[in-house]
Amino acid sequence: MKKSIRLVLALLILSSLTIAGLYQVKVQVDPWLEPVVAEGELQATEWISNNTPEDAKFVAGIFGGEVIMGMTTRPPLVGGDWANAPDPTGNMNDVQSIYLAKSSKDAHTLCKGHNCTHISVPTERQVHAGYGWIDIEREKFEDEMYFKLVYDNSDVMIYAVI
Amino acid sequence: MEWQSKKPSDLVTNRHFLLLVIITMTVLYRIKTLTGYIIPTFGNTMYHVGIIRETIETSYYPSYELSYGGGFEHFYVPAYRLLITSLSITSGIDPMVLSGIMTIVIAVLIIIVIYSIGYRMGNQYVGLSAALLFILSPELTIFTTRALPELLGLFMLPLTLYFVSRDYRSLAILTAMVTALTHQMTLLALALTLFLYSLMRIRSKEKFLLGFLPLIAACVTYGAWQVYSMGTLNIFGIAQIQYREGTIVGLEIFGRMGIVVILFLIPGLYTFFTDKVKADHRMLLAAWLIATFILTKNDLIFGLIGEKGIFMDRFFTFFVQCAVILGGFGLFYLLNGLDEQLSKVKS
Repeated sequence: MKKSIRLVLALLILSSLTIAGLYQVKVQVDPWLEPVVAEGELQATEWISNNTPEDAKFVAGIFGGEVIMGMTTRPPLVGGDWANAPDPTGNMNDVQSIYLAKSSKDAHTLCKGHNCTHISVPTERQVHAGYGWIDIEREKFEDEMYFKLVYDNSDVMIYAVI
Repeated sequence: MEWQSKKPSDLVTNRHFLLLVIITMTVLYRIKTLTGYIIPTFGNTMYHVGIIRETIETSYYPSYELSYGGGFEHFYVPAYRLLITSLSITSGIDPMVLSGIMTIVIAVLIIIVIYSIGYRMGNQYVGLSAALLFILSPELTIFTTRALPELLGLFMLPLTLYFVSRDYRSLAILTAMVTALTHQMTLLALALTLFLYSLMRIRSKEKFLLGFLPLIAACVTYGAWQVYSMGTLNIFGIAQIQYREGTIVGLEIFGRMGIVVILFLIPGLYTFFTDKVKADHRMLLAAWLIATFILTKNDLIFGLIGEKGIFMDRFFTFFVQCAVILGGFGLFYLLNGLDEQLSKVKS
């Protein structure tokens, strides 16, 4: 068989395999490249850097917490490396309870128990504290006896724990 | 060696051009890590950015964690973070952006080292086939598109094995030590691979030491780091071992190896382990494949001692890395065989 025909055959085989493989890569890998956090949450980290003490401790979900840690070096209650943490699952439970609680007082008590100074509340997405995605009970953060809104944009509200 | 003399009848004349095409595809897919407002966040990427930022701001690699409320000993190995830190300080680029840039750079370096191993153990076409299979594997793409220490580990492990395959003992020792300080899972994969390779080569003192000395160097380096950072060699208290909440590698994750890789892995295994490939290379790749398979299925080891769960599923990525090299042999063998058959057909 002529060399040119063999070349075309080889190219056809390689192209078909490449297209099939790249399609699988696109379908399976694209979800891993999601930012998860909203753009406003990233913008909020500039305010956090400039307006909170360096030892401020944040209640945030794992993704939001890691963005705060990454951009401001403020420690979140969950997120990062749990290998050596004293009670990582306890922290996960408590962050989940803070977001799910209906009572402002209960959420406030949990925050104070961990010496947390601020809470990050995304407005447009669910949060993940280690046990799956959950909706936030937002109304409790409006009780100014326990929490004070110190920053907000269209994607996130930051409350100080009073 | 038979492999070195084979070529697919000049079907492909410009090998460097093909490698460049593969590298360009690698870069193009990963460019999206830089075009968004933030780098991909799955896998704790921003946690590492946080430690890098802390190191830049204080000029010290932190002794205490920022994770999970912070304030406890920080023992994560520093090589990847210090690489990004130093480049960020030198360039003035923010560590988050630089982490994204370096993700692309390191991914390209991984492709090159995979190509080099295929080239070394087979020929340049095997290297090209392995590089092509690399970009067609979802598993390898998932772990080479995010800014993680494992990304550097995926470069350091094959680089160390490449040096072993070239009999470069000093370089193998050096890269094994750097691997020990890059990523703990990578260290385990490398250590077991070198251990098995040393066992296989125990009859030859020189070959045995070629695997064993880097193994010892890596273990001593990591041990020293852990004693420095945690004050103990005991690793059994960490959360990954306590909770074992990793995902067991079953058929679904196995499929992430990539249909095209799986397709060529079987003929690749046949070709590699039956054809006249150098014994050293055969044993090195066998050690790599067996070690990473054992680590991937560590749930079975826990099962043997009556425990449930899995320590970590990320070892699978290192198994796939070895599989694409074997698959490279398979792809080359099939294309070469097909071409030989077709050349006999009269037009």
